Amino acid sequence: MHIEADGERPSAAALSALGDARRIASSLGAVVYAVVIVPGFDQGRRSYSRLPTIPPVIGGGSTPKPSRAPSATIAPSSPSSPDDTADGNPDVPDELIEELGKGGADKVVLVAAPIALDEPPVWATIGAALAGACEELRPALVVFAATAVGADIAPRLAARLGAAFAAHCVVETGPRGEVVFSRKVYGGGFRRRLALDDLDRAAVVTVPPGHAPARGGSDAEILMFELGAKRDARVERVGGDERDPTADGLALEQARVIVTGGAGVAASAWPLLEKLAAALGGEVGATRAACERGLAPAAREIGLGARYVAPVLYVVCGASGSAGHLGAVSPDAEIVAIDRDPEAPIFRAASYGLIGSIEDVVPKLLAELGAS
Amino acid sequence: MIAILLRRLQSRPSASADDQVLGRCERGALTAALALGSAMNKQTIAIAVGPARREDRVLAMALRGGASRAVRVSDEGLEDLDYLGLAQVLAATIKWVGASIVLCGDRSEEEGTGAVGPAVAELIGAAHLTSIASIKSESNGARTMLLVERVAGGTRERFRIEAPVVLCMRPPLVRPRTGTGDTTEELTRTPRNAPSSIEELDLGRLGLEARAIGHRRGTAGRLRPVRGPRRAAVASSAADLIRRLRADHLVPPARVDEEAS
Repeated sequence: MHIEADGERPSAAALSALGDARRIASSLGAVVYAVVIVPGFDQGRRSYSRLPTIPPVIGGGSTPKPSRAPSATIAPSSPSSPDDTADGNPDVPDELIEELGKGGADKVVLVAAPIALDEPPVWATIGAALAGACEELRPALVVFAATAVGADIAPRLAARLGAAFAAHCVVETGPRGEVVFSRKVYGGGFRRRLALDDLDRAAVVTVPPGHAPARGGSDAEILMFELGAKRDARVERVGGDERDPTADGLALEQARVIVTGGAGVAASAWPLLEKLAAALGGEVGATRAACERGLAPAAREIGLGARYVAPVLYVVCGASGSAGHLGAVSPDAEIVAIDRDPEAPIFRAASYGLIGSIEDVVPKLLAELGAS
Repeated sequence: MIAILLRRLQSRPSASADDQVLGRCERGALTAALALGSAMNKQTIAIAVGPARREDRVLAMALRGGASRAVRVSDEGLEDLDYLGLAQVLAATIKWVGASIVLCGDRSEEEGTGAVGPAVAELIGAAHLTSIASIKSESNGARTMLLVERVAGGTRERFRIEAPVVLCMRPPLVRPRTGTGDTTEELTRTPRNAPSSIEELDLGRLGLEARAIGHRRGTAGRLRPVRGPRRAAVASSAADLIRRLRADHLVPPARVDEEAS
């Protein structure tokens, strides 16, 4: 499980994916290694020269290795404080380790990579370090959060390992109790299902954020790897850190409730969707057609080729439910359709429906929610 | 040479409009590749894998837009490959044509996997970046350098990247319609080159054996149709809908003072 950090904590997406990894590992009796990339080597921050290198795992195969005590293992209480360089331990906050343990990790693997603190984690900077860790651990399954980082790194790692790959999938249990990665494809008309039991090789998957993280774990054992991974010198960051014009839509990817408007919503009624989303504690999304009509900024578009979402509750107002739209919504989401046309195709994809105009229906919903 | 990896949308076999045969990411890649080829005075070559009846439409579209060549790989052994099997074929084709810059879509609209570009990069030993919004060329002696803008994770960053490289293009932002077509449509509807013939390759010409990629069959997972259309449970009123959602724990329970009222 690759852990993306958000400052000094694991990101919400990483904790959500770690929860999925924990549930899978528990069903298989396997071990979860949470791999954290830490800046190292020639970045002028910390020398790892005194850390011993983990010897290769003996008898590598397609199943995760059981817990063992490699030479670099240190006690959970041992990581240095951020200012403590005396023991040569990396600069990883105790809180991060603790949170990963509680979030489901059996072991936290700290891997030094030649990345500067302000650099984005992409394959060119951390790929070799991650691949090196996988060569040491020989995992049966590598899980990434389905984020921009996961999208850049996971498929290349899969190719490096010769692994099967599935993106944006939900974890299901098959009829034999096997772990199945499932995702909607072809606009929701089909599902692609990859059963872990059917594979004779490792798998790499990305899972959408939004699921509850696992809780109640215990302290994780810490491993440190110094693998001498090099960065890809052909890729050099030369500027940036400017705000992405679509950044205000990022909240959609974490939202547990989304109210999405389509081209069937009048411009004058759009604020009602915003009120409904606020009343439900959610975010407002839009179909491509709604964005093209100027009802919402492009950053809010949900659809194939735009943004993928994985809410628990997905309320669709005035949208047909096209394949290009619903294909980007997690199959786990419960869809509520609101439309004036009782024959609208969206009612064939939804679990719940309400027939009526947005102007008429949404104020009544707000009243029921105590938000009018 | 610049290569563009294209694949026709398979769920719309009878579609004819340009925006219905290629996904948004791939249209972005095609536009960027044609513009880059023009700026760098390099040949652009469109590559697709699959039968003529499916892929020639997109290759012809690329030629109309200004691509110098179009190559299609078709062979009986190409069906049901996973991302890495397809990448093996594409990587062999890229080596065969001698391209050092490869552009592709960030992810297809149909499977949304986004794995082929990075996998091709791995197989040809190239650098790669995903979620690319724009590309410019930069002259640096004999070395081919590109300045790319990556928009991902809420930030916009710029990288200098040296060929060989695979760049996966994100879709252009949707803009409110103003009555004009998008750039790709304008590019590809205005013939620049007289359509030339599409070169056809098989695995043998690429030096690949079907059995070398055969082990990549079946690892993409099984495709199953979603069972028949269902019908939403239509609520009789707003109050009924909220009651059902609360019963299913999808909406928080009413506050006590709300219930009392």
